[in-house]
Amino acid sequence: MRKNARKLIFAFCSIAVLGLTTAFAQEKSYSHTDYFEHYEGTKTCLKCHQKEAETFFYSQHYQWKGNAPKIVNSNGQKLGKMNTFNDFCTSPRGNWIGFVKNSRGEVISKGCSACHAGKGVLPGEKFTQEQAENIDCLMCHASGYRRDLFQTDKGDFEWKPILWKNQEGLDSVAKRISAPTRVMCLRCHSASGGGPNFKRGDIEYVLADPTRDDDVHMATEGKNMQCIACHAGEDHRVVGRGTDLSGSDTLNKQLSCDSTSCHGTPPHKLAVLNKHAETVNCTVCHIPSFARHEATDMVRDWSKPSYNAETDKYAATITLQKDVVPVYAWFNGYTRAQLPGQPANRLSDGSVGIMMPEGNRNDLTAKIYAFKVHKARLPLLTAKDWMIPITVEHFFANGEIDPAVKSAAKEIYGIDNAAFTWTDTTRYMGIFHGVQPKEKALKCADCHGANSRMDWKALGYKGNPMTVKPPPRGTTSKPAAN
Amino acid sequence: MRFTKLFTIVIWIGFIAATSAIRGIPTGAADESGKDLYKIDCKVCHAKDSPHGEYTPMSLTQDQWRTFFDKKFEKTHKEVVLDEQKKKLLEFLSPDQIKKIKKFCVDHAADSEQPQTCSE
Repeated sequence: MRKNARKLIFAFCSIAVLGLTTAFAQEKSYSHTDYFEHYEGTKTCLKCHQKEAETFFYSQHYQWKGNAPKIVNSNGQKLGKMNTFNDFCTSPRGNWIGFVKNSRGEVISKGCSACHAGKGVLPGEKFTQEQAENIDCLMCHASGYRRDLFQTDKGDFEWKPILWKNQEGLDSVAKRISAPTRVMCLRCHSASGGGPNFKRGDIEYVLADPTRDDDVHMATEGKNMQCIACHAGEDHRVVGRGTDLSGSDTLNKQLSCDSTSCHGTPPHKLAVLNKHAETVNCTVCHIPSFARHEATDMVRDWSKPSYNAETDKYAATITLQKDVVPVYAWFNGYTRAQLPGQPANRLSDGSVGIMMPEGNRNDLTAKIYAFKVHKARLPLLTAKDWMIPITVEHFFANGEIDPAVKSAAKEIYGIDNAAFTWTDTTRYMGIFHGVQPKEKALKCADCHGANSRMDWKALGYKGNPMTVKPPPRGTTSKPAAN
Repeated sequence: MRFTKLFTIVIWIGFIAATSAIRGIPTGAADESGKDLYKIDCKVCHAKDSPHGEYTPMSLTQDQWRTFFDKKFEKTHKEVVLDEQKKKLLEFLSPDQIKKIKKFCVDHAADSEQPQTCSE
């Protein structure tokens, strides 16, 4: 009888403990739960965070441009996606906001501002109350916040919380405030370029909940590092610009694996590996391939419209590739950009270099980096030899590329009925994410064996340096900073 | 004895197939997704401009959907009769089907990773 009573008490206690721990596990606490009753748009945040709004206003994430000291031909201009162009969807100018509908009346595009942390107004030069209230803080700070595009009675467009008619639900989501998580960052950074992992190649949605094989730093069951563990600067500034971003958000802080708090210098126990680390960036050996889960856009030909009957939508002809071996090139931290209104910078293969890393074997400040090389075919203004972006939004609906190019030429250069030709382009994009466990890093033979992945001649060697001894690296040829 | 068992099984299969066909959904329960059920059984009263209120999965948060199905659904829908079936909603929706609808709503709620209307 006593034994049974003990058993009963034990069982009861176990159930109670289990119940309590489950309850604790399910109930997540958020810092802003008691700070306000109802979320009434950004003005609710501004009551306490006016200063933070101002710092965010001047950041790259809001302005979509910034100081560009690492672009050798920037001539001191602020640069970014807002005033340059790219070889994916080409430019947010002319494609900013609005509904584009297909022949079935379905919305097929809402504009580039879908990924801007604002409510739809274009970022201005000066910080005003209108600009402050345009900032959409929840986009990067509220877990579970999702929004959609709505048209106002005046005909303007505005990004609003999809819960705007459900105040109780909106209040609940608006109070779930935290520093940005991987999921929040990936919504835009993985989906850019028109599809999952289309643009970057190494920022896949799997990084929301990755294994060690997907990324050894971000692995949920491992270090579980968030994007901001490496990229957070002060005052809403982001550290790191990769190799092909125009603006540098944080000028005085470089993103590096070598810092003492991370891997230090030298990073390895073996001298031979440390010798390599003097000329080879970590990513070369530790990210042997990219787009391991989702295929990435390797070639985008805007001269050949393609039609998708299922979505009733036109697009460029895009060649996707999965599990891609990077291309390797020297990079000294500087980049030459093809800017609007500058003559086309032609490479030895005749293509125009959109973003080209600076540096070579004789540049002692350069190292070999891993790149995704993106090829495209884009319009060129015949009379001036200038690149033209494309007003893609209407093209998505009607497939008419000629007016889409002419409309962009008018928008960006003020030229009516522009005569244009098509040209091939090349863009080098650094590969930095998807770091594999050390057991999966490249081995000697991957680069120095018979089936080497390295194009030694392109890197300035006469052949495999294991068999053809190269001369010592030369003197610095670092380009002058702007 | 064996014959009776076989007969019962055949009758059951026939009954399930017939009731599924009447409701215009695939026969196999595995094919019946929460989305299909939502379209057939919920959207009919909760489409745009409906006097019963427009509801899609992204009208509520995940927590709100859970609370609704766990505490309010039966109370608020016990008198609901669908015109086509001339039967009470709660009489022909099985607990498993309600579970599937609930999962669809939660998975595609306003604060989920894939907010969705049921027509998408």
